[in-house]
Amino acid sequence: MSIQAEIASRVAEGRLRALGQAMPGAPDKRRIFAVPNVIEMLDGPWPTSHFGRRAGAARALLESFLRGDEIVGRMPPSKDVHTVIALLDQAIENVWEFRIGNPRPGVRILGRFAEQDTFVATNWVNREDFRDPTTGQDDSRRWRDEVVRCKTVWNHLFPSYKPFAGSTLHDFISNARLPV
Amino acid sequence: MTSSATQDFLSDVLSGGRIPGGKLAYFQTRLAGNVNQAMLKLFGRLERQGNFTRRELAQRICRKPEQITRWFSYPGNLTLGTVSDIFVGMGYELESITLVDLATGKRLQCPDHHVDWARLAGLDDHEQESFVAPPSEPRQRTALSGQTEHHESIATSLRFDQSNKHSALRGWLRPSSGPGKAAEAQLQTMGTRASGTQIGQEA
Repeated sequence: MSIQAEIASRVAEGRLRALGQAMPGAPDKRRIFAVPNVIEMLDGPWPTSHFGRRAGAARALLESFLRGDEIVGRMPPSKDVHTVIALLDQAIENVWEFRIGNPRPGVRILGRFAEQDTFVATNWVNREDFRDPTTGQDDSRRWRDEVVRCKTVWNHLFPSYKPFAGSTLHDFISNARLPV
Repeated sequence: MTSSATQDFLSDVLSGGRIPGGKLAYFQTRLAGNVNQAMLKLFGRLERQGNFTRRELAQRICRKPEQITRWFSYPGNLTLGTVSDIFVGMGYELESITLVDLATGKRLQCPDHHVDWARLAGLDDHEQESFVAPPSEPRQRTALSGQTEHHESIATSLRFDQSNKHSALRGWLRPSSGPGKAAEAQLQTMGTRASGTQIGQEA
């Protein structure tokens, strides 16, 4: 069974949902499938106005990906540049994140590519949750926990499929570019 | 997403009541994304021509190259002034905006006229024909079904023939070609034409 058939099965089971554009018109040139938890975050209702703003910004950014807009992405090692999407670390097996930076603090949506231009969103995290509450500094253990969560969700969804792998950004995303 | 789902999504916006922050942020990010796409498209085109770099843009608008990278990497909350600086730094002006009525899908171009920079700069008629003029009348579409046109309008506004693009303005834009003299020459041409027109009208 192909990965596309696997995705279709997960969608039929309700374990994955396809993200669509709230404002129709431009056809989807890429695909995003997400676990219900991520879709609920995007759709609301939201507990606070600030959280709603994060979710609204996140949806708009993901829809830009769906429409096939030119996406600026980062692959290691240029970690200091804030891009729309970034490969966290090749050492942790192709876990990517969409980085929603506005409003601050933002939100991260983690996931993996099933194939080129097909992203499977597995979990999301408030940006401030990566920080140690006592020091205010990023806590690498919290990052690691979310990465492990991403891999665990993927393995439950697709036990016999590894995520898509590539050596350049263009392998993963068409019409993409590295930072200017 | 079905059209009914779209109507659900827009119901808060169209109801006349208070619009939730999430919906406001959604449209803010869409706008920022459209501007970012135009920036990337234009920069990519100039970059492919091999005559423009991030450093050059940074120098022209008095910013650091790292700032240029940040602006282009993410559709952030740029001020209108910054957006203008970026486009002018690349030799373009963001001239008009297409407004879309969320209830009807009707489009409105604002302003519905445009400054003919080519004529002002003294380009001949042949060169002017290479420009793709924006539509003078707002185009109509069925409700919420023509979003594609929105993106095409941005692309169309950038779809100039690069061999002729602002060729007369390049003298102003490129320091190496002597911007002062070129600008003076262009101004003289414009002044001559303007004077000639006035004299003709008076006669």
